[in-house]
Amino acid sequence: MSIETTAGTEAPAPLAFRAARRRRRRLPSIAVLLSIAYLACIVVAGVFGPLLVPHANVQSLTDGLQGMSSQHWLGTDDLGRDIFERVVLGARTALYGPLLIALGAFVIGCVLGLTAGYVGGIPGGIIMRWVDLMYALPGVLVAIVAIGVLGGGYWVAVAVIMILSAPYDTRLVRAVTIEQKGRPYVEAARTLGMSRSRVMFRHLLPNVLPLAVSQAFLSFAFALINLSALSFLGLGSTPGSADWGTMLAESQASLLDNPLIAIGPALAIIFAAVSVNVLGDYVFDRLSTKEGRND
Amino acid sequence: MTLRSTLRYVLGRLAGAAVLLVVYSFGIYSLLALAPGDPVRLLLGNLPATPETMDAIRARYNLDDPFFVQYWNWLTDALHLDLGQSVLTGQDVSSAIMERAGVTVQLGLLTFLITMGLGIPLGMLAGLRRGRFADRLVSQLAMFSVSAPSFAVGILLIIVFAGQLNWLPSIGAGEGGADRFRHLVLPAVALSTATIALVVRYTRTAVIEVAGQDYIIAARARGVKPSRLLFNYVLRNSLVPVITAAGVVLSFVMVGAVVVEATFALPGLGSLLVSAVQQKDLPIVQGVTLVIAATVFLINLVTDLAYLAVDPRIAVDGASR
Amino acid sequence: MTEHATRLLDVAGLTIGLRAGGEERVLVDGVDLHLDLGETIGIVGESGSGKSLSVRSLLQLLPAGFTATGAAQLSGVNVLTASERDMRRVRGRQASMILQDPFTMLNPLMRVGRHLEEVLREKPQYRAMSKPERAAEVLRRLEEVGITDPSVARRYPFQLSGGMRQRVGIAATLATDPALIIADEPTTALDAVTQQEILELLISIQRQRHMSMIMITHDLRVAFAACDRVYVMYAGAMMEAGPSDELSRSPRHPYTLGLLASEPPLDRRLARLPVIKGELPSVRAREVGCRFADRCEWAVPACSEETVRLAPIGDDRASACLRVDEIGSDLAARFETVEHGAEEPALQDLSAPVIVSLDGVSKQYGHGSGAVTALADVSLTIRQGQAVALVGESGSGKTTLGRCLVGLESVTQGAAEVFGIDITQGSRLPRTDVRAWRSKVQYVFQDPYSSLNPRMTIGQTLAEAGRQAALFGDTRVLSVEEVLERVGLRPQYAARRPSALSGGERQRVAIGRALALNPELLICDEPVSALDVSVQAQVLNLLNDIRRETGIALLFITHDLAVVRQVADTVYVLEKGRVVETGSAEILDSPTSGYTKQLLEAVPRTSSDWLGKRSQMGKS
Repeated sequence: MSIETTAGTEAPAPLAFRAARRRRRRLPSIAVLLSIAYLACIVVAGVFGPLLVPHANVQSLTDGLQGMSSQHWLGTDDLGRDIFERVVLGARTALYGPLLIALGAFVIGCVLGLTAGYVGGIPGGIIMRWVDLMYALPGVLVAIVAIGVLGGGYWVAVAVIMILSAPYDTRLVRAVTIEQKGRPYVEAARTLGMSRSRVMFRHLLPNVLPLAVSQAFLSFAFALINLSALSFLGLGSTPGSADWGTMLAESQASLLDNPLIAIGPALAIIFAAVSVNVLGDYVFDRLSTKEGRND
Repeated sequence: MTLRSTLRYVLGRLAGAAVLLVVYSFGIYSLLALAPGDPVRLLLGNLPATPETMDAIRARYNLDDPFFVQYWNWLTDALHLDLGQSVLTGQDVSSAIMERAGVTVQLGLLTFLITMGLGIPLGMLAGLRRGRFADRLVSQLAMFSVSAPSFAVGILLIIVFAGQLNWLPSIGAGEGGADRFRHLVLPAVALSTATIALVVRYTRTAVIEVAGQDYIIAARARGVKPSRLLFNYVLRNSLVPVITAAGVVLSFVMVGAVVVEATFALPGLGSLLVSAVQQKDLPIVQGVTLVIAATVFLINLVTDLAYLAVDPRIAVDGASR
Repeated sequence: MTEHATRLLDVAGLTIGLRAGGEERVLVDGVDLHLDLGETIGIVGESGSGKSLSVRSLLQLLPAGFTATGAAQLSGVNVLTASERDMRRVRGRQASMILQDPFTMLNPLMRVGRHLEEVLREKPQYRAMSKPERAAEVLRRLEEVGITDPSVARRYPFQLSGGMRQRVGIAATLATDPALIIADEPTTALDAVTQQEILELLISIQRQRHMSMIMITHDLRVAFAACDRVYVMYAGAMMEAGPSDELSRSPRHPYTLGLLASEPPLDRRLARLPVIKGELPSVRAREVGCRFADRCEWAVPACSEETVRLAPIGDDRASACLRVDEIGSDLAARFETVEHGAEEPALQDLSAPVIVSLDGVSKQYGHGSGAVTALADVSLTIRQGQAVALVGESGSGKTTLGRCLVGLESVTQGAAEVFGIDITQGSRLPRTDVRAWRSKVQYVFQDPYSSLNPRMTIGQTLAEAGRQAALFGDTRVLSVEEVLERVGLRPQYAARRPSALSGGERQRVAIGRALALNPELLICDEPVSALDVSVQAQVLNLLNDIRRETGIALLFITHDLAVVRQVADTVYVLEKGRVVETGSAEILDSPTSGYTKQLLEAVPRTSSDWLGKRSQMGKS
């Protein structure tokens, strides 16, 4: 919305609105701090899990289905394993797979998206046909069928979900690239005779990054949800392993006897996804306001 | 001119959906060849692997023909609703699908109603009260629910409403109208947590975008009634992006049903697919996947056509989206 | 003071604040104004003057977060404090508003006729009508704004041109028959010829209906031509007010004088355009003193210590200058010199070698029946050191032509040579030719707000340009400091990012970036049209200085004939992709093409006869 402008078509934002838009230098909110803290726990648990809870997988049938106690914070499952310790151990698959997927999709998306958006032509056309095709596909369904029929477990699931996520990053990066490439600063770089790769990586990429990075957070959350969903269906992690999705699936038999078996991993997944999304929003806010705006 | 460009738009979308379906069905059929192991043995299932039975399978599925011919035969059969037989039970795939589709469709519709019925009003509320308490509350809740996977929510719902409170049944589909409805409430709620958040966000963004437009200010300045302003200006113009959301929700529901049916042990298409995948019952996998994908493409097509009804600019321009 | 019986609007001490991030910014500070029945006033100011906010507050249409205090009586209602319920009776019936951009002012999903019908139905006499009667009324009202084709009522806004949309917007605004119409930059987004038509329409309707009108504009000439009285605002404060003809002849505030002087004259070329030093201030908290003091030549320390509100100085005039009595004769003398400033003849050497030669150049977008012709059979020559102007309205192809010369677009047909390089070959050109082309021709873009990479400092941007120059074999690469100095910026700017710079400063950097390659031809695409008037003159002077110092050739792309007069030796007038007139800058005095005449007619002029005979009716 513009209230008053000077002559010409491309009028600058009026001062009043520039003032209104200039956001306060906000300190991270409590939600952001909690998210960071929780994700930090997941990282620690994911990296050092086996050292922290060495006995997580030790079965003890006599201790089965206990409630909360000082010894077992979240009680035990039907096989007498400590639920809290297994949730800690489960951080591993909740961290590495999604991280790999988010990074992979981010890199693929940036390279293909910049190419499709800036170079265009035949390579751009091919990339976009591929993206359109992937977009129309029901992604989770493809993952279920592909992994179910082809077999392979967790890391195949990671690869499949990465391939299914990359088109989202690609499409986003391409859209931003196309929007930015018509801007005079990019055209100026071209008239200064800069090479194509210099324009792409020196001028376009830094301006595409804020959105691409926030998309990477989204990818992480979606990867986490989809990987656990696959494990939940018995298609990701091997049955019996300490994976939050697998634990949920295996909790169903004794769900009503000891709800903690399910509540532990369920909340672990939900909080992880929420934290990642909260952090993603925050990072986007910071990146896009910090000197990034032209007006 | 208008009619012609409209027609061109419709035909373009139709052709696009058809091409997608062909490409996709080819992928589905290729699964048979890609799956580890001999396709003949895969298709034998529980039958003894004698030369006679193996020959019969080869003949039945034309496995000696070149791959593209096999695919073509499969596709033409599929178009005649002949999707082969289940390897395990010998039941016709199409009749197995018909048996199970009911639950899935009911679950989908209920979820869709809950999603749109709650999502659009909440999104509008948040958009119109931007920055106020209601907006912050709705937006935070949306952030939370978009991050909650349906199976985790589903299990928590079972614990609370079936386990602790004992209000609603936890698993199965029930018999008859009211009982079926009682059985579908929890799955539909679980499935709609993420989609409601999606619709809230789309609607909120659209309302904020539209409410800041000059034509709203101009209309207020010339004294257009508040009710007209809300319905004919803000709502009508925000509807365009919300249609996209509706299409996304429907597709999401069709696919998400797979996981939710497994959570609540509902005998729908999703649980049929999951058990078939686990038991490597390829004809069922192919059949169900094809049906779900075709439905998703159909939903996308209907979404595209819905724009025609809402936005006159598309009908005249034939502008592609 | 005029008698209060006819007073429609009385505003006193209007102050508008914005609370952002815990601090309160004052965007409009103590504005007083009044308006009589049947009177037209103009509020003139550059961006950030608060003129739009001021009038929006009168209808309580400020965006969220803005608060208005003070008093504003409109037909006996204090519209700043009235309840939303009461405002509903004010909006439309008492006062209504036309907005700037015709492309966003109408509901895109509603047919034209409905826009009128829905407000007509609010009035009892139309609600009682039958449907066909009301439809006829809609058509009658469209005719009032010059739309005689009845099918327009059934069309959607996107099917109409900008001028048509603005007519529909006016008709919808008038449908409630308000006593006061507020026109917020109603013609800024339109081409000059359409601007003139719409202004004429507004004035004639205002006179016929005997309405009152407030016109917001950044263009003093438009305000003088269209309004009985004019208010001049600067940075949220009122500077001066008075009847149009007096204000235009004897400004009594240094800012008004500066604004009048910065407007380049159409009829002669000045050796140097008068400028107001410095740039527009940024919005700050409430401050003491005259907001113009920093830029004012006549400022004394007292100006920054004492806040002066608009005070009457006789003859229905008012000024907010503390020293208005002391410097009155000074201002008058300065105004004389501006009006008769030193002229400079256009200089060009017609024996200099040709550097750009276009022969029968055409450019089409798309293929087949959907193809759009941007340029048709254009021939053009630029000689070394020459300043050439390409003039035309939007859609004339002037920008496309400039972009072709620098390789951002390619020519479809015809012969085109730049420094002996055949640019029609496009991407098939050998690398050495491309480098020679790039190092000799550079471009300055219209929009200074996006022409610099927001993530690079000014120093990085300029150093990168220098790096390119070295790459192309330039042996006298300018340092960042040298470039900054050449475009009149201090060396400290190197460390800043574009977001910390004003529009004028950014445009200087963009010019510097182009100059870093030591080009022989600089293409300037509307380089000042996005800038405020007081800054435009500075940039035009800079370009003229650079040309004088370096002998660089300029291709000036513009819609503004007054700008053409100030910079060009040779002029090409384009209409719909064709050159309709060519010649030295003197063709502005005696145009031969009808289109050029039309363009010249449409340039706003201070006198009210610019808006035609119709608007003269009833004017004393």
